[in-house]
Amino acid sequence: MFSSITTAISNYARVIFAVLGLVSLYPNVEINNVRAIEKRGAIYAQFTTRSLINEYLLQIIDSGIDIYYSVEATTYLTTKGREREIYRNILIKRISHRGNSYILDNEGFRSWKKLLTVLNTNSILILPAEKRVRGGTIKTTIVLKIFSDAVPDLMNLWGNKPNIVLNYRINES
Amino acid sequence: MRVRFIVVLFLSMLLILSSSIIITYRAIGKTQESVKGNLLNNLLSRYKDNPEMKKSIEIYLAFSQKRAVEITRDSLTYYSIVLFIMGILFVFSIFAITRPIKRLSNKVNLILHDNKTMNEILRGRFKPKGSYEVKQLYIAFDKLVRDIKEYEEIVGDRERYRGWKEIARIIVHEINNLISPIETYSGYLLETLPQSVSHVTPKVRAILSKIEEIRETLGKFRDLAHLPEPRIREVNLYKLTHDIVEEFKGVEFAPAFASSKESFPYVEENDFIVNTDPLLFGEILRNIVKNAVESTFPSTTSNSFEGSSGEREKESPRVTVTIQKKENTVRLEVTDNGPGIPENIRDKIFTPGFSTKAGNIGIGLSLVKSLSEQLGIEIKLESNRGEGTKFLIDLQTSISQKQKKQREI
Repeated sequence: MFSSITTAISNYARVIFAVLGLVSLYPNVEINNVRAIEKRGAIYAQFTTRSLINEYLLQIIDSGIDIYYSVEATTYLTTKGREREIYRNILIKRISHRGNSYILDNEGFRSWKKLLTVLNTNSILILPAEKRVRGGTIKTTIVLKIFSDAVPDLMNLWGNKPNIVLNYRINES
Repeated sequence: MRVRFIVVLFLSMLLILSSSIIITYRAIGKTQESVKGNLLNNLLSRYKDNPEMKKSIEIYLAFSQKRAVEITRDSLTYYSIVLFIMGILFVFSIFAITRPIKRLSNKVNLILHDNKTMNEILRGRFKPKGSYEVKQLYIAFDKLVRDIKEYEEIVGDRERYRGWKEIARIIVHEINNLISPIETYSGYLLETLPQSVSHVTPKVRAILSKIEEIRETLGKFRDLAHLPEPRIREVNLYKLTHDIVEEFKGVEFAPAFASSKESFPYVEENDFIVNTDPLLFGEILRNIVKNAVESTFPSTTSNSFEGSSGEREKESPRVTVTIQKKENTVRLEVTDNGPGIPENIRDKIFTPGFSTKAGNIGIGLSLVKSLSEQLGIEIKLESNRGEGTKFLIDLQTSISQKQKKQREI
């Protein structure tokens, strides 16, 4: 009884905040386990996601609409107080549903959960070896997006605009 | 007060706004569910082979919550405008309502700290300004101040009277203690004095006589200090007045009615039945008559009022007690043609211990005042210097009191 009242109140409060533009009624995309790793001189950002494809997006995918998931990394170098872009990398994955299979790019999955496992594990090159610079501060922003040719405002089905900001410095050695 | 009103208004607006959001959102949700249940499912089943239709419906469903929020937000804009206008109107109303109260409060503060204005109120010279409500409040405040002043005087008088009674009781007791041995020894002297000193005997008798006078005076004090509680009952005021007037030599009793049915106005003695305490009322009347007698007849006591003897020589001293019936009241008038009471001492004559007559201890009229307060009787005084004094007492008849009670029931 008490918990149902509490839930009702919290739902109403969420609606009020949503109308006021403070929150969204759609689930937020969570980003976890963010780390930067070095592989043969290049630097990669790795992270996991949650609620990337929520029930509303799944409905759209199930209806046969192809949607695209992109991870865009932009790396900036700040030297002597000036910031400039030194590298940009975009990974785009197509998610579609054909027959009884879910397809991620060209890879097919029988189960939706298996596709999600792959989709939720992300790795992106943020600074290649030849772009490595010494001195100065490096900042990388990683922005996740979702879009579709058929649905113009698909990002609205995410409760937030997920992004990561990494600040780091490369040692002289 | 205004801030409290505005806070309440703000919270009310917030509550109205929140409720509006919830109601609108729920209404849209219900509509969407209805559309989904009736129309969309129908379309899906009819066009199941049409993938584009399915896509469109799924997109619509996925974005339904977002649309509901957007429509609610649009409605909220209108609600907000209406509420904003209402809020402004309310704030204006609050200011319009509280402005007179604030003004009144400021004026009251001003009056309380301004002796000149306070005196004007007490004299009834203060002219209120402002709206009708403010004037009414001013008038109410004015009455309140007057009543408080009046009660203050009554309470002050009662307190003084109570203190005075206590002092009288102690003095009577102490003087009695002092004169008792004098009286005893004087009596002893009178009995044991030898014939050889018989010329002392009249002097001892004079001492005993003076002691008797002191005891009589002390008796009056004692009576004043031990006034009994009033016992109200039906009293024939005509008879009571007659009996009291009989106690005083030279006082004229002049009932203002005819004693036979043939004459006019004919009033029966029974028409003078009033509800009062005969003992206490008798004391009131006795003291008023006595005061009139003492002020009028030079033989009883010397009068100290100056400047009136010349006029009084022309007219023989006279004290008249009149009783008459006026509709539902019985009026008693004690009139004398003495020197009158100067205006400057008229307020003081009821003060215990105040007297203008030499040798008088000033108990009589103070006793009249305290007894009349006890019985709830108002005594009016009319006096013109050199022309005499008139005390007026109005009492409701017993019948009219009964009728009044019956009407109240």
